Amino acid sequence: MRIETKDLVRRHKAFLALDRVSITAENGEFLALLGPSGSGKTTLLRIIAGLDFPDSGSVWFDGREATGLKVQKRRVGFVFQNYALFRHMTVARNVAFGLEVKGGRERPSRAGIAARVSELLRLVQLPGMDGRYPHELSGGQRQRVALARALAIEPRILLLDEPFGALDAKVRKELRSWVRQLQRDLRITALFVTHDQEEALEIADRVVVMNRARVEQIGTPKEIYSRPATPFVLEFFRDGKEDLGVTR
Amino acid sequence: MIDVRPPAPKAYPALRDPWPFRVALIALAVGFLGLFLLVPLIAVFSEALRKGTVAYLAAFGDPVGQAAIRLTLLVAAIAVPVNLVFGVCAAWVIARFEFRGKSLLITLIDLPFAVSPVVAGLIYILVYGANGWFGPFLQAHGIKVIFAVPGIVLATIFVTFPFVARELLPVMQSQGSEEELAALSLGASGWQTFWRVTLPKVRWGLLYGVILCNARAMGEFGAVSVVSGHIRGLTNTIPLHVEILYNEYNLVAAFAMASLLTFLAMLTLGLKAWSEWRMRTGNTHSLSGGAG
Repeated sequence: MRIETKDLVRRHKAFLALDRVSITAENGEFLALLGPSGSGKTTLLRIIAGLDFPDSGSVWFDGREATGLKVQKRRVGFVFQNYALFRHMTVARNVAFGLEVKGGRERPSRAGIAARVSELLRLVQLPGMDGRYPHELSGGQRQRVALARALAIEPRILLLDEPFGALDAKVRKELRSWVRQLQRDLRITALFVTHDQEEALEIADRVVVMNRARVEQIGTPKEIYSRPATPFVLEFFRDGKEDLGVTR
Repeated sequence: MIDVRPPAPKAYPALRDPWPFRVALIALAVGFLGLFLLVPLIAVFSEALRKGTVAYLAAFGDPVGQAAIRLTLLVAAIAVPVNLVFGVCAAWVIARFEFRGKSLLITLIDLPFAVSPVVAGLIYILVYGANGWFGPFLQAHGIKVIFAVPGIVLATIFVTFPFVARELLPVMQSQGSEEELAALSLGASGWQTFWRVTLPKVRWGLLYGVILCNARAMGEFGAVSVVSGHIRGLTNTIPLHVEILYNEYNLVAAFAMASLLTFLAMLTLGLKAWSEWRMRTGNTHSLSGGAG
């Protein structure tokens, strides 16, 4: 699905979180939202998900306006920074959640749900983990359960908030190329938030560089790296220090 | 799994006190607890059983005593569910939303803790009594609140209001609302999210609050004493009945009744320890889950 935002503005009291942000993610694209902390990238992701709403501006899904659409109606797969797995449920119940809360005729049969859950757990390479609780899993495993849970509702887009931030360096590298491959196989539009330049350049089709509530540059990793559009982008990539932009 | 709890202090030898000091402190603490808590506890049962088990059990055969037990159970059966619902609502609203007057609401929830129960009882007389604000209206409609069961229930609800809300609030605040957002993004309605995610998440804290609320509801003396009117067999709860028996020098019966409340207290402590233990293990999960 193609996602477009037009002139999104979001204020939190005196703090301007988004300042006229317009971006586009083409169908099947893997788009990185890159920037220092406080640059507005997570707010943008949450507005696209329907977890937050803009003060002005609009969101479009496949050319249809989705600005006021409730989160339940958007069919977005959202993977939270700390995964937000339901701690009192097993892995299987976590993954099944989105199917179990469906109303009436839409809800698959019990056997149908079980089959879908084991299919998804195979997909995220966690077969046989059905009965575990989130606290019994490693960070990388939790991440993959969160992904399976989000995919269970057959989302039209996948939104990932700092998906690899809480993992150690080795797991992070493995997981991100795996997620990239999965996204390609599923041919799903995906946006992910990161403050890690290397991560964004390595796996994204295109990168949106954000700073202080604004978009600094949008382009392919190659374009951004070789032709930085603003002094901020240049600094951000040259020094590789995520907080450079906010300290000056 | 990484254990996130801080190491026990004994890991630092520098913090270890010389042993005579330690022994003296422990002896002081144990002696104090024994003198002020354990001895009275033993006294309740030794007094109740002074004339043998037959006399002890006979105390429960008295219809007036039975009426007091029934009334206590009835009052708790109304007050606890009411406070359960209101407590969950209050904690939910405070933990989830930002609004004007929020700190005032928190202060109001604590009011029953700050006010003497006797004053609480007097407030109800002032409002619902024969000469109170609503007195003439209630009388005209033949509704009796003060010196009747409704007054006892109201006073008990007032006194026990904070327990559920106060127990739930820190649990809800520490757990945040990410899981709820996740549930919504997966298509769950607000109602489904509450029943399937929020409530199960806080269940041990909730149980703890309900247990404490129940213990206080059954044991409340001051506020209930003011609004009850002490009508035997009608408006006496167990604590009030104990007082009456004691004043009549019916010591065996008084302590027999008191032993019921003591059993309740011990059961409460047991359940409380258990729910605290469950809550702690639950929180360890949430901590390691959150930090990732």
